Amino acid sequence: MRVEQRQVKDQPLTVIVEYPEYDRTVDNLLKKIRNMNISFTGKTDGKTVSIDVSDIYYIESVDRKIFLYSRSDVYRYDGSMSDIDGAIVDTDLVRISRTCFMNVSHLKEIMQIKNSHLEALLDNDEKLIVSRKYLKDIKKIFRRKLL
Amino acid sequence: MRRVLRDTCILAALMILTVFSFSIAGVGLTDEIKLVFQLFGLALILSVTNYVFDEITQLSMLAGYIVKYFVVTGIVIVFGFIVGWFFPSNFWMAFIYVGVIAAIIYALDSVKTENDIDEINEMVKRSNKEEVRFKSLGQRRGWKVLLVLLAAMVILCAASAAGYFGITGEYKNYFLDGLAVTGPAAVILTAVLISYLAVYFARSKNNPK
Repeated sequence: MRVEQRQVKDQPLTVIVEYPEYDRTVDNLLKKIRNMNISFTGKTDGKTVSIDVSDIYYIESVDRKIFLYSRSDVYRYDGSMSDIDGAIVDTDLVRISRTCFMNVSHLKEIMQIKNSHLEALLDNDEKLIVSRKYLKDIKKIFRRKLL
Repeated sequence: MRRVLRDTCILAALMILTVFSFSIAGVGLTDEIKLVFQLFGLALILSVTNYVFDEITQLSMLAGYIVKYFVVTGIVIVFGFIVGWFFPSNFWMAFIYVGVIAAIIYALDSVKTENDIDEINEMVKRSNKEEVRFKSLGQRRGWKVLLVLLAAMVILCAASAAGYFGITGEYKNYFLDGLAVTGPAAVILTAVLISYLAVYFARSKNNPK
């Protein structure tokens, strides 16, 4: 794959992908580029900020309130879990329980702990409970990533 | 393989339903046909219960299976009384039937979950370009679960056989029922354990520990 870059002043950031044939690699690349544009709007300390999907570690619903967690910060999100469900198609976020979405790009390991609960360890050492029935969705994302 | 087995079961179920539905027109609603439809009815109720249970609870795997065991047994007993499978003296057999099936499903689910976790952890390592290390048998959990359940099933099977051959009278048949349930369960668990170990040793030859 040849990578070229050039500065074009007074123009928005533009990515042009040229390919001899549209195949899975191209499809994967385009999805990754499009995912860079997906972000969520969260609130912290009265300020509204935009957070890239790649910066989100996990999203959790606590007492019907939704929180976005980055490596070290927490943001309040004003949407619903079904809004998130619709927005995360083709991203690295996946539902891991009824109340939580995890970004698999920050996953370090999944472990079966003593009381036979499943636990996901993230690269910031946060631990999340994973429901067994969502393991196949996590595998699906990795298969797509590793294509 | 799993998909082929699942599709085979679905196809067999559809064939049974179709054949028996046509048979009603020819021979009427015989006891056998009634039993088949009752079993399908019970399977539908249990599937819906299982789905609802998984949606509303977040229990650990073992706790989930224990709670489901009592819920499902309760449903089977109530259903069995309604359709006339059980009498007041032998309803407790439902605990054994459901228990044996639950033990087999739990064993298979444990192995599947362990495989899923290993596969995900391998994929995490590959996507981070880290070396993938193969887990030794001592670090694995699936075969231990299978072995414990197999031992329990063999003990129950031996107790049923001893009871059947050791006593006379009306309770003899209960031990025969016990033998008919625990015997095949022990065979299934042995087959799963052998295939688990066979897959492990085949994979361990090609992977560094």
